[in-house]
Amino acid sequence: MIHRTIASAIGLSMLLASGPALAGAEYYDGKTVTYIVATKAGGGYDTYGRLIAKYMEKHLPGSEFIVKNVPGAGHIIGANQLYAAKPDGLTIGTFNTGLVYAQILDRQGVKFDLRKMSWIGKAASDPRAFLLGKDAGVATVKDLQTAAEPIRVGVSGVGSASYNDTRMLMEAIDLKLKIIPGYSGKEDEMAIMRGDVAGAFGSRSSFQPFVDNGYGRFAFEVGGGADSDLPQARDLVTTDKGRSLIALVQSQTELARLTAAPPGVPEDILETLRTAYRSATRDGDLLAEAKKLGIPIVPLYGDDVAEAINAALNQSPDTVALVASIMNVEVKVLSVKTDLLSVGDKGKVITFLSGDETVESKVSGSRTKIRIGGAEGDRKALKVGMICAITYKPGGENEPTTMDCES
Amino acid sequence: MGLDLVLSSLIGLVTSPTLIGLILIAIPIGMFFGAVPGLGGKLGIVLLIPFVFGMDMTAGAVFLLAMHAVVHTGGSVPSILFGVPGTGPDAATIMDGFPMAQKGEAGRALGASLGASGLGGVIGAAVLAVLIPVLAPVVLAFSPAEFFLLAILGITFIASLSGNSLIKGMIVGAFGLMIAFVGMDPQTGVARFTFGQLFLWDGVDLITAILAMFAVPEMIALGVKGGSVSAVTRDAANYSIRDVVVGMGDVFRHWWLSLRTSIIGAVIGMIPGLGGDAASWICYGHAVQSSKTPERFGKGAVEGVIAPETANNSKEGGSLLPTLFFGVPGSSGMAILLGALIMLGIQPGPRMIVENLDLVWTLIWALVLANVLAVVMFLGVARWVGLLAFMRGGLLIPFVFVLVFLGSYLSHGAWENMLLILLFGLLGYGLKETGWPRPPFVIGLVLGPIAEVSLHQAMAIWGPAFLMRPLSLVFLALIGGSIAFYLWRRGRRRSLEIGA
Repeated sequence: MIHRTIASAIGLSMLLASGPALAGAEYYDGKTVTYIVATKAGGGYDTYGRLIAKYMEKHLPGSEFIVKNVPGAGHIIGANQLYAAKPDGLTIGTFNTGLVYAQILDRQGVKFDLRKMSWIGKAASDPRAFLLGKDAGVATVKDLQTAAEPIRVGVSGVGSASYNDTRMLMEAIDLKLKIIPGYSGKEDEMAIMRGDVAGAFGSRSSFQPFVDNGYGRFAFEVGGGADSDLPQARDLVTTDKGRSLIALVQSQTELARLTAAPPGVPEDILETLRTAYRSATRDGDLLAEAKKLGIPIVPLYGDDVAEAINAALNQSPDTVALVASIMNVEVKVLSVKTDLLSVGDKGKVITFLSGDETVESKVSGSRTKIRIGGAEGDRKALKVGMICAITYKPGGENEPTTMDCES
Repeated sequence: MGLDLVLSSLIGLVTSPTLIGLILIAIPIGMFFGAVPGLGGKLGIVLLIPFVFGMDMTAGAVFLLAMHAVVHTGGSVPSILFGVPGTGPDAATIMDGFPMAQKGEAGRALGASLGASGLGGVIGAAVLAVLIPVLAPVVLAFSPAEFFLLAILGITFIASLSGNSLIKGMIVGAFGLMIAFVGMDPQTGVARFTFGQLFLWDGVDLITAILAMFAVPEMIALGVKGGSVSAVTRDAANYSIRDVVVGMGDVFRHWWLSLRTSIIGAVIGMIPGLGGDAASWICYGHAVQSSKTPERFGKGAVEGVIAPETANNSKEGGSLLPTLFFGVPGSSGMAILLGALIMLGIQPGPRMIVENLDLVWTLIWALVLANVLAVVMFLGVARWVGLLAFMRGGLLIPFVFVLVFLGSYLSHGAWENMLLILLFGLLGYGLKETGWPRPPFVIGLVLGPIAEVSLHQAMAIWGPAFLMRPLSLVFLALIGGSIAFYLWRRGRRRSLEIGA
């Protein structure tokens, strides 16, 4: 172990000395790659993580992948650790896409910025479905909307992904639900069998055996394909507000089982990782193994994942305010990465797109910290079309606190 | 189900060299995963899945199940010898197993734990077999209302576990409950007592707390006292397999207790959401309370080893019930086993009984065989393992501290827990030196979260009327009985003392 650490340290220093010329697949020859899984061993993230790690190892000859479970705080600890790791391409990992919520809402403890992560790929599209027990007395979306008494549904805990999703659905398609928290793991299925709760919302593939066994049925789905056999939530919404909430949930179903590296991984090394990921997820053996495990593989790679994550993070102030009120949290700042639509009055007034909404913002000469092309800049230098990462306080004058623009 | 199928499954299993060979390989692996603190059966399955990939369905399932079934047979070994629990559910075994080692009875304690594990495992398998026809009504009878009352019943055992001072026991128990409330409140999503520390969001890690409260104080005490764990020095040559056999005999001498705790363990195992820790502590509490001489407990009573060890092996059979026949796992360990079974091509669910009954029986027999063979295999080495209790403290203490820190890190993976070990370790040492009881702390810590979550659920689902459910009334009666029994016995003891 120690020898290996020394060996990899020597390898790394050799690499640094000889520059990027070495950075092809041969960079990984004799290297140990740590694959961080942000949950305990066992369970979906761990299964996908181990599978991806095993086959990336196969497609990076001479490398050795070690899966490291870093559980805690609803994936936040693992994601923080991954984000803070050295960007040498020897630490990569996976975590819950639901951390998009954590970042949008600026949750306590978040020390990562998903926009800056080096995205390698995602392994699955995992539609989520609303499961109802066979004896629940309700079966369809209509039943859930018109119930005289709120229908009880189980979630794992307030603030968890299942809770957030369920709250969003209630708001978006007007479901009359009563949320009962405290069902972790598969306890929700047992609770449905007992009749404690009528249903639950979660990954369709993980509920599927329960339905196949005849214990329940699905009422509707979020993120299913055009050929899906279930009603789709996107067709059930009638308001703009609802549409944007469903879009947010759906974006997460499409980006399931991510693999990322810390920010700042050198371009060529990242490309090597993406290539290995691509080969791994197309490997016939991996697909056969995944089929046996009953887990879907619908991959997407590199920049496509980065773009989709950005789209999910770029929400309009209205949507963020709505999500915040649903989750009962206070949002202090919002951040978007977008181009400047207009710059007026010597840079004092700018407009930009935040989600699908155009925001007019007053730039402060003293409080707003502006960087242009990496160096400290002035608002006078802002120009239309510049791409900027803008953090601003929503409401009132929408004053930016920081602006980081590309020159 | 025909008897011929039951027998043909057994014959098929014992006459297959492959299957027997796999069981023989699985047993030492399982015991190893149990005996190294922090590893546990769950991780065992995760790490073995790559090896069973591509195996025949029956062979793979038998291998994994046999491995998982004997984890707690091995887990009690460090509990007894060093006061370090191999797994969470083996922690209760420390209470009397370690004092037995201190009295020079390590061999007997190991024998008792071995016999109890074997017997518990077999009874667990029997419960599994017997309950197949009436599975659904039994498993589904237990809802959050009953979970809450069962947790409260367990908490009333604090009285019996308090030693000579009820007040001290209640204070320590309340402290355990308080520590149990650290973490994200599932009802509000608010962080409680986490002091801005992310690692506390999931609560205080149980293994860490138990290691700190029990192993650390014992090792400090051993260092201060000098000598070896066993206060009685014995010539190594004098120490024989006889002690181990005597210990196994104890299990059958207390057959009525062994049977009761095995069945309680199996029943708790099959109810999802309670877990192995609750099973072994509730059974330990039950053993103390039902004993005619409760004052012997905590000082090396063999029943204190038998009760938790029967329970933590028998729960395995119980927890397989919902996993195999509903396809709904009762614990996180079973969830992983379920995943592995699906990978092997087995489709757990109600159709198992109809379509795969021969496989079910093969698994039941594998459970029985693994438990029995584990006893036989370990018997061969128990003598030498027991000698560790006579090792000089100076050699032992550093090794145990490595196990303590390693165990905590393997279990939760947060370096901050190392500081918690020091904090709780000092607290535990203080309690030990001043004669305050420590078991109520663990009772509070284990049962607190179950009581809290299920109370909220029961109130949200039924309102206060949940107390009037038929099974709730039974548990309320048990709780009342438990308290009344304690008061009666205390009153009687008082009057006896006055009379004398």
